[in-house]
Amino acid sequence: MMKTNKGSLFFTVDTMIGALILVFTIIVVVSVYAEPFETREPRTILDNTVSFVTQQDMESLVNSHSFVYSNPREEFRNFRVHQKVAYLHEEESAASATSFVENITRLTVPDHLGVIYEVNGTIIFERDTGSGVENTQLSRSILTHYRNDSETFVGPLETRVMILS
Amino acid sequence: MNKKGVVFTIISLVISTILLVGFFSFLDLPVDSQTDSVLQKVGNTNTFLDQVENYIGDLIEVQGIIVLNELIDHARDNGQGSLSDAESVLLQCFNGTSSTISCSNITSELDELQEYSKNKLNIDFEYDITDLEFTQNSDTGAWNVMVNLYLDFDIDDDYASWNIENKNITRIVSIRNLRDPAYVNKSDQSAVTSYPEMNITGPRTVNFASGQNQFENITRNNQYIHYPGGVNFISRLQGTVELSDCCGLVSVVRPAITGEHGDCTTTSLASFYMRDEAYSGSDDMYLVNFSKLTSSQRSSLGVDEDNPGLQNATLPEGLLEYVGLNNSAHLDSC
Repeated sequence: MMKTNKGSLFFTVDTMIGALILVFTIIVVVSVYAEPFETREPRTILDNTVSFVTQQDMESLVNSHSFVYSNPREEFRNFRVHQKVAYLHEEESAASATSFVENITRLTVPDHLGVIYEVNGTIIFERDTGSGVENTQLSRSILTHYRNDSETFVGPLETRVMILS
Repeated sequence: MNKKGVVFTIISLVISTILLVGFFSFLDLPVDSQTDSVLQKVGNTNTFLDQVENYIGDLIEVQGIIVLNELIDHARDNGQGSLSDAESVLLQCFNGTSSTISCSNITSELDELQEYSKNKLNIDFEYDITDLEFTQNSDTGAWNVMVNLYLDFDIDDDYASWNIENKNITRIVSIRNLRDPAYVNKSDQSAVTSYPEMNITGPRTVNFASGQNQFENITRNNQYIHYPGGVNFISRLQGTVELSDCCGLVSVVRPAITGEHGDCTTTSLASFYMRDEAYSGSDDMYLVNFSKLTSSQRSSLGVDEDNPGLQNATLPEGLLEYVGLNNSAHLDSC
C-alpha cells in the first residue's frame, strides 16, 4: 500500500512539473510574439512602399489600381510611379502630385503610421501618426529621372519616402 | 525512487526545447539603432542599384537621338565619307573623346549621377565607358537602331563594394523623323533645297490592290518605305552602299517634284545613294524611272501602263536587283 501511494505521488509530481514546464514555455513564446512590432512593421511598410513606387508602372496602375490613378489617356504609360510623381511635381502642379501620392499612401501605408514623401527636398505629401508622438523615422532614397520627350532628360532627382511610427 | 516518475518531465522538456528552438529561429529580434541605420543604408544602396541601369538606359536613348542629329549635321557639312565608321564615332561622342566632331556626350550626365550618389546617398559610383555597338538587324527593323553601351562600374558604400565589368546596357533608338543622312549629304546644296527634306517617317497603311500584300510598311508621297534590298540608315550615315534585307529604306518621290530636275518626270520610286562608286563615282542622286523599263519588264513587275505612279505600281521583292544597281539604264540622274 505504501509503495502504491509513493508511486502515485511521484506520478502526480512528475505530471505537474511537466505541465508547468510546458505552460512556462508557451507563456514565453506568446509574450515575445505579442509584443508590438515597433521596428519590424515600419521597415516592412517602407520596403513595400518603395517597391510599389519603383516597380509598378503607370500602365499597370491604370489597369489594376484605378482607384489610385485613373486616367485612361495617360501619356506616360511606361513611367514608374515615382517617375510620374516627379513629373507631376516638376512639370504640372504640386496639387496633382500631392493628390496622387496621397492615394498611393492610402494603399501602402496603414493609418497608424505616418508618412512623408519628398522630391528633391520638397515635401509632396505628409501625414502624421495621429498620436502626436513620432519616435521612429525610417527613410529610403530613390534615384529618380524621367524623359519629357525624345530629347529631354530630367534627372537625377531624389525621391525620399519616410515612414513614421 | 520510481524512474517512471520523471517520464512526463523529460517529455515536456523535450517538447519545450523543440518549441523554443522552432519559434525563436524565426524571431525578428528588436534592433538597436545602429542595426537600423545599417539596414537603411543597405536599402538605399539596393534601391540605387535597381534604378541605375534604367537611368543610364534612358540616357543612352536620349543622347542617341541628339548625337545622331549632330552626326547628320556633320555629314551635311563635311560631305560623304566623313563618318565612315559611325560606330567608333558614336563611341567617341558618348565618352567625350571625339576631337574631330562636335557632338554631345553622356559623361556630363553620368558625372552628375556620381555627384548625386555621393552627396545624397554616400555611395561612391565610378564608371568607365568601354565599348559601343551600333547596329540594325531584324530586331530593330528599318525604323530603329540598336545602341549597345558597355560600361565598367565600381559602386562602394561603407559596407560593401560592387565591381561590375563590361555591363551591357542596350536601347533601341527610333530614327523616325530624323533627316535622311544621304539626302542632306548632297554636295550640290541648291539641288537639295529644291526637294523637300524627306524626314524618315513611320509607315502608313496604304490600300493596294489584292495580291499586293507582300510589302512591309509601304508609304507614299515623299516618304520612305522599308524595302528589302534598300540602303539602311547606318549605311546612309556612313556613306556606304550596302543593301539590307531587314532594314533597307527607299524613298518615294512625287513625280511633280522630280520634274524640276532633269529627266525625272515620271519617276515614282527613288533610291538615294551617297557614294556613287557603283556608277560614275560622282555624288549624284539616282532615281528609278519606270518609263525606262521595257513594257514587258514593266508588265512583269506589274507596273500599270496607264498610271505608273506608286499607288498603282507593284513593287515586287528584288525590284532593285532587277533594275540592277550596276545597270544605270533604268536610272535617272537628277
